[in-house]
Amino acid sequence: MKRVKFRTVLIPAIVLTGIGLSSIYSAGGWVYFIRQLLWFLLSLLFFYLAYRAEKRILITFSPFLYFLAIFFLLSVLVLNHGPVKRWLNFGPVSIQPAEFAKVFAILFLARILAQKKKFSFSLSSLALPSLLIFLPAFLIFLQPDLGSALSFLAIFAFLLYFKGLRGYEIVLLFSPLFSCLFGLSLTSWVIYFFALALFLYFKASITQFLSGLGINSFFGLLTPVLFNNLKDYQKTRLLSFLSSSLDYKGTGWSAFQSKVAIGSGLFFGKGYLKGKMARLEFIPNRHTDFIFTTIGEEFGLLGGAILIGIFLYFLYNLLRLIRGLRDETGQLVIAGGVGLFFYHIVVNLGMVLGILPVTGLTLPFISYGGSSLLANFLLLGLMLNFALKED
Amino acid sequence: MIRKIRVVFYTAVGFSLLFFIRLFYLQVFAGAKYAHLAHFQSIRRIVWKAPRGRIFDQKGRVVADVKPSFSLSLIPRELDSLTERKLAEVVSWDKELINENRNAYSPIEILANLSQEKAIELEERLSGLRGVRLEVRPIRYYPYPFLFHALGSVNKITKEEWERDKTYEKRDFIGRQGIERWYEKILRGKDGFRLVEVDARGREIGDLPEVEEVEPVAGCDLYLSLDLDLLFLVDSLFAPYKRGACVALDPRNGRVLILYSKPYLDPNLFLFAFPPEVWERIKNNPGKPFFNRVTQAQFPPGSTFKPLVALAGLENGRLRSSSRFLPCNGGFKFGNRYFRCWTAHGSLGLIDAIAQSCNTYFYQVGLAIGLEEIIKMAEDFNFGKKTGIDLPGEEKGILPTPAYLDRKYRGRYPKGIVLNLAIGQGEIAVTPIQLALFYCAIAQKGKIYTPHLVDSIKFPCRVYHPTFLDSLSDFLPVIRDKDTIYTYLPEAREVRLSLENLRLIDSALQFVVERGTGRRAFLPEVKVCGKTGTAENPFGADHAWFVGYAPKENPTIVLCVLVENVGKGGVHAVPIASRIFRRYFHLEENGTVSPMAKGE
Repeated sequence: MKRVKFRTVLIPAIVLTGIGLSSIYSAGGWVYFIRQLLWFLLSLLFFYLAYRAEKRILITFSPFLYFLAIFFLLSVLVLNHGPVKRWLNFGPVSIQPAEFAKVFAILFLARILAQKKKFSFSLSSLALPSLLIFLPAFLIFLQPDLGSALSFLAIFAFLLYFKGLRGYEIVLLFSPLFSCLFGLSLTSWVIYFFALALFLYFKASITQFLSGLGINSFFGLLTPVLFNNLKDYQKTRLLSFLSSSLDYKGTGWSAFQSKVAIGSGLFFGKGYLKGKMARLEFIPNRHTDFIFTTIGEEFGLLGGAILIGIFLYFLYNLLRLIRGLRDETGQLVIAGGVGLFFYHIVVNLGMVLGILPVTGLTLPFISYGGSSLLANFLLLGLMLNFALKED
Repeated sequence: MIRKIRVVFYTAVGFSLLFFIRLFYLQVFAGAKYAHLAHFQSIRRIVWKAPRGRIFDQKGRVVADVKPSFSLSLIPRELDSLTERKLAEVVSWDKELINENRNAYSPIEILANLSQEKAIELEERLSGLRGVRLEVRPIRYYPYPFLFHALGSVNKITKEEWERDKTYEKRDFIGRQGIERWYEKILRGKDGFRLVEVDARGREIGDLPEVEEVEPVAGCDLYLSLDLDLLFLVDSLFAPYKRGACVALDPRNGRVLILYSKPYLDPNLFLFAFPPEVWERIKNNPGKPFFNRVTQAQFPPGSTFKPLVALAGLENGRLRSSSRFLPCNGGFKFGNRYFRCWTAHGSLGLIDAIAQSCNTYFYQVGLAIGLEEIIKMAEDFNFGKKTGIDLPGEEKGILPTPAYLDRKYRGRYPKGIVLNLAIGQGEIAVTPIQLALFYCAIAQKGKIYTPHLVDSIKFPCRVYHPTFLDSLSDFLPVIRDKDTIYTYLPEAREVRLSLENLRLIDSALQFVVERGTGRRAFLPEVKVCGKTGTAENPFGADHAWFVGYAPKENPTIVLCVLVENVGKGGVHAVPIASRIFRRYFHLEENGTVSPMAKGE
């Protein structure tokens, strides 16, 4: 029984990495292929270590790992100069500490939440976990990397949901942030506000309904007031910071070329190594964040649908790990991990398909990038460790 | 728990469906359109060049401008034989350039700097040909070549520079020397782009409504402290001389009013490819036209150094205004060497010794106070260090510190060195700007302001790109208002000196001009103080110095003039300084500056 489960998770991950490797070869050539292959071998080692480690030790050392990640996030900000500060260089390789910070935050948060026996939708329960999530998210926001910073919120939402909060409570918790974002445009805010009101009306108590709407109105009104007091150039700065800070050539260009490449793949695709758009340098980051364009162009709707199917199957098997698991820390580690994979997949595909704004997030297992691949397999190892090796 | 797992799973299914529908829309429903676009690659991304920021003098006159430049480019990948045949009828170009990059999608410039008439003619004859593009780009224009050493120039970016910073295009210009180099980030601006749809023959059909265009952000404008009127005058005063330099500072804040070095080059030369002969001629010019003499020439200061030696003696107490030494009979015998003076002065007091520039007197001052005291004072006044002016490539000069001499003479340097140092000759070398800064310090009673060329930086337009602003942050300690993003705040440091000693030097310098070696700089209306000097040159005729300031009571200008290979300072450098002072204090009528007088 247990062996079957182990395979159902690891095999899709390895298949996805294989698809990634072949696409990286198509989009970036031999150099990137070889490098990613080496990273993959290293990742398997990481996976093995994370899987074999004693759970007790992992839990004991989780605060240490968390603060180590915080330390590296601080060093990234201190050691790098220039507008974008994301990597730490160790000789020929550079590491992106943000990717590992996500994994260690899940582990530490799972421990903190599991220790709390009485957990409710209250300040005393939520204060410490919120702080621990906010700290790395804020450091990553400063890099600036809005996409990765928000991934912590996704992790947090999943953790709280599986810790026992109700869905509407989580919506209520995050609503001020959304209110700020939507507050930048009146129309979008009004739509958001009515949707929220309707949702809370059916789900929440009358007190929560009223206080939720009150807080949201406050933040919704605060945003335009603050925004209008900014100087022109500060506004422009803020808006482009929110939309993208990664691509100096302009996000419209990448998003559009990405659509052309995928669209031109038609139903069956142009065939492996025959994708012209993704191979000629029309698409920036074509082997990293925009790797799906290569797949969409070369394998068409068929290939794209199969890939989405594999991701769905992968998430389904991960979710099944939670079922019947008695150890609460384990449940939460898996829930956080699912949240992270879920967020990455949805935001990356949404970006590449032109539904969501362009942010620099990788497609798990597929995109080129050592830190991302290592962190993903590390996380997978931890999840399987907690799920399958019950004491 | 099971319920929560289901909720998450169904959400995932929902997203998968959404993505599938989106994929279906892109690849099946709109697929034909995108396949067409991809097949013809008929979307072209056109870089929209940001014009470089302009540079103005202190009265708001443009000294580095931007004008449109027309050029003809080819996109090698799109060329066909028809186009090449037609093109050959109209223009001739270097075919190698295209053949090397046969597969490039980015345009390659084959003809630059076309006149507007020619551009219109080409447009008529070549329009509609696939792979041919006529472009208008903003390009630098320098109306006044004599500002070359202050402004520098722009030049095509090299391959190595481009490798290092790929936010440039391969054919961009980059600041090379002077202000253009120092303020490159600020002047450069940020390119925009737009996407246009082109038909099968390469003709632009129109903008693509689906994608936003990004407007370029022009570079910021710089306002310099330089005074164009004075620089015009300086250039004409230097007409009889081959090599020299002139710098004027406002001692109250370090603003640079004049920065002139000769010979100079026409900076407009570097905007276009020029024939190799011209390059050979520039390279072989013995005057080294790339050499900014104000910040890079290192010569002995000669007698202009004497006030510093006197100050060192006065401060340390070994010298008094009434001190007298052995009388000058044309020189001074020390050991078995005879050190010369330029004439027999007899017995002098300190003030007259400075006014008459008597070497014999200062040999003995030097012996009395010793090398270390002089060096200490020189270091206090910033000799041997960069002044910190906002120009690249500044030199430090040479100061014969004990450490330096120990290294050079293995610990046993001859005593004669201090005698030479006391009259500013021998091992010491200073740049004109260092010398000017020392006289600023005297004029300001010990206060030294860092020389600075840029008064303020202003936004040229209302669009501010975030990353552009980030790149400016190093330069922007002060943001005053929306248009002026930076105003220079002078920073001073102070050398602690007795006011009495400074007054003494001050009046000695006044005597130099009233009845000493600097008489040619005397003005009846304004009290000028200063000092002449001669830098001994072992390779030819000596270099002439004059450094001075005016008016004595509250100096507003410090002037340093260097004329190379002409002999004595009193004869050649002082008259130039005198004319500059007269113009500065409006004692002679102001020659009007015609904006296109030179360089057109």
